[in-house]
Amino acid sequence: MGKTFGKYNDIELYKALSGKKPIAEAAFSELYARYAQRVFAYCLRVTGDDEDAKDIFQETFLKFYHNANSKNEENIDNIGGLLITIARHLCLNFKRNRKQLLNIDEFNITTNDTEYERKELLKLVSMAIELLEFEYREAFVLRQYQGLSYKEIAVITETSVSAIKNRVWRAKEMIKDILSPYLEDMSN
Amino acid sequence: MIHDYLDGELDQLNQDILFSELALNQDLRTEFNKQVKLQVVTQSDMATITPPIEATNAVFASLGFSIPSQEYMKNLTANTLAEGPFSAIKKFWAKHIALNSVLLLILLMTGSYVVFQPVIFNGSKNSGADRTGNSVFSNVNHADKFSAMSSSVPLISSYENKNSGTVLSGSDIASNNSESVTNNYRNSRQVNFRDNSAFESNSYYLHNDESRLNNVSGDMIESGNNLDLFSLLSGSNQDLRLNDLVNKRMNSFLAFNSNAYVNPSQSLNNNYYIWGLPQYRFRHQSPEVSIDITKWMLQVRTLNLNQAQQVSLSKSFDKPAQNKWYDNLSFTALYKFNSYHSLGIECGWEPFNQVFYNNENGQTYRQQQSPTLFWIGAAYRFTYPDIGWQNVIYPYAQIVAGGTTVGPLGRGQIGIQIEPVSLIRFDLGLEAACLIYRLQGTTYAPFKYGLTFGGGINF
Repeated sequence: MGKTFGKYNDIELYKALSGKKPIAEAAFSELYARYAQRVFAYCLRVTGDDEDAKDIFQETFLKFYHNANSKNEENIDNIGGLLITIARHLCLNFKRNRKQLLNIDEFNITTNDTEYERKELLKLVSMAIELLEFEYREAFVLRQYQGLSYKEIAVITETSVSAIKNRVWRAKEMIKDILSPYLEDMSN
Repeated sequence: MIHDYLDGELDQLNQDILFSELALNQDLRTEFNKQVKLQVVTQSDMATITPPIEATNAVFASLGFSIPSQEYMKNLTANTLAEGPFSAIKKFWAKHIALNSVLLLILLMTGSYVVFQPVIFNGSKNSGADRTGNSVFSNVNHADKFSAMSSSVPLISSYENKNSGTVLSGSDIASNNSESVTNNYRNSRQVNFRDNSAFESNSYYLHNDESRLNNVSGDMIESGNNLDLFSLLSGSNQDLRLNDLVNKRMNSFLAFNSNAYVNPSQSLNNNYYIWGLPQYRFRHQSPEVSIDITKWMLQVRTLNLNQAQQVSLSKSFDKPAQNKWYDNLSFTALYKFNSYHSLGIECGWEPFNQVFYNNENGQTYRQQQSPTLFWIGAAYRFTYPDIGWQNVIYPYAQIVAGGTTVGPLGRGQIGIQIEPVSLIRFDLGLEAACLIYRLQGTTYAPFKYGLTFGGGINF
């Protein structure tokens, strides 16, 4: 960790991953520091489960590293997008193997309490996100959590920009409806 | 439209339309508020998400990489946590720990002095006091005025040459503003100042070309005779011998509960000119006697110097700044040999940027780092009180020769020293520091420079 790689851009670091081990290690560490949180947030909010998110998160970075070492001459220009794409594919595989367990009827918010603890609120948000269909959830997370542009999301999800806009809009509406009692409380 | 607005994709025209509608429509406002809150909530949620340490360890272990350090993990977490107002304050405090510590110390010292030595700030209550050095005896009727003052301001009234038998009364001295007293003090062996008298160098010079009183005192010192300063100062019983004051600068407000004010700016042995020269002034301007008899000085100052050599450090992987309370601070203890020369030790902690080339396995790496190093060294300080302002501000220069764990260190500074009272002092100066270290046969000398300031106490 002694060598400094903070000054290199993502692409330079990505190329360095296929270099000698000390160089590759330092480059990987730098990229990990830059994107670990985003990737984990995506995994956590899309899967809705800590353990699953952890597994997918680890798998994402392993695949990412092996991808860089595969001598594949593909043109990479967005490392963040690449990582999310890998994570997304893993999430889709995960989704295929697991059914949605939560039902919207189970999700009731009592508004009697005037003050929600911050942690509880965030838990509610994550639960609300889990209630969304995968494509809406994904679009919402990429837009709201990752701060990606509609165009970037469209590239990652291989969908049109307008479709993504629509998904994000619908996701917001659904979450807003679920959290409505709380949001009204906040608004007052 | 609300979604577009929150996405930052709404043009100005449509923004105007949206806000017009919001002004009129309560439901729309509620909807707008909900959307904004939703955005805030998701951002807060994002800030709380951190990759678990075990997941990070697993990733690195799977790839055969070393497990990231605790600092790295902490940094990873710290980058993701939302910052509340208290953490922002904490961060600010940690970032400027050195500056904040010095300011706090100065504040505490000044506060303590104000609380425990209020007499200094009450000195101006004496209506006869003249801090400007202008004589209160400038009018014709000096004697009357003098005696009138003596009731309210106890003053030194006379000094006596026992050997010659010459006694000058207060009225003699005060009889004429321009009058010269030409008695010969060559053979004087003892000088007593008693009762009520006033000496103002700006106004009352006792000219004696053959032998000034400083020579008298010099003779006395050489011959071992005692000059009892406290009998000299309004008949005080305190036993403070002039001999003891040799080499001690008398320059500020150290109260002795006497009613005369002594404010010399020079050491007694060198420039003890009571008359004729302004260095040693007996002034009736304040009811305190101010004599600096301090021998030691303790000081703390900041070392936030600019690095001449810049390094680009990774926020994630290079050791982050520790921001310990003693970083970028130095502590000095000096013994004052006299008014000019002090010697002591100084130590401190500060980062030094290092850029060097390291040859490993035939490959040369350019490495850069900024370790915080502890250093300690011998300090010499030269103060020059002969010039300055109001006996409060003087120039000084200081050099330190010492070392760190990686190599020798030299530093030097010049600046001004401010002593509003004899107990406390402040320094403001320009400082340069150079660290020297060797690596694989090459010598490197990172250099720092900038402003330094601090405070200290004399005792």
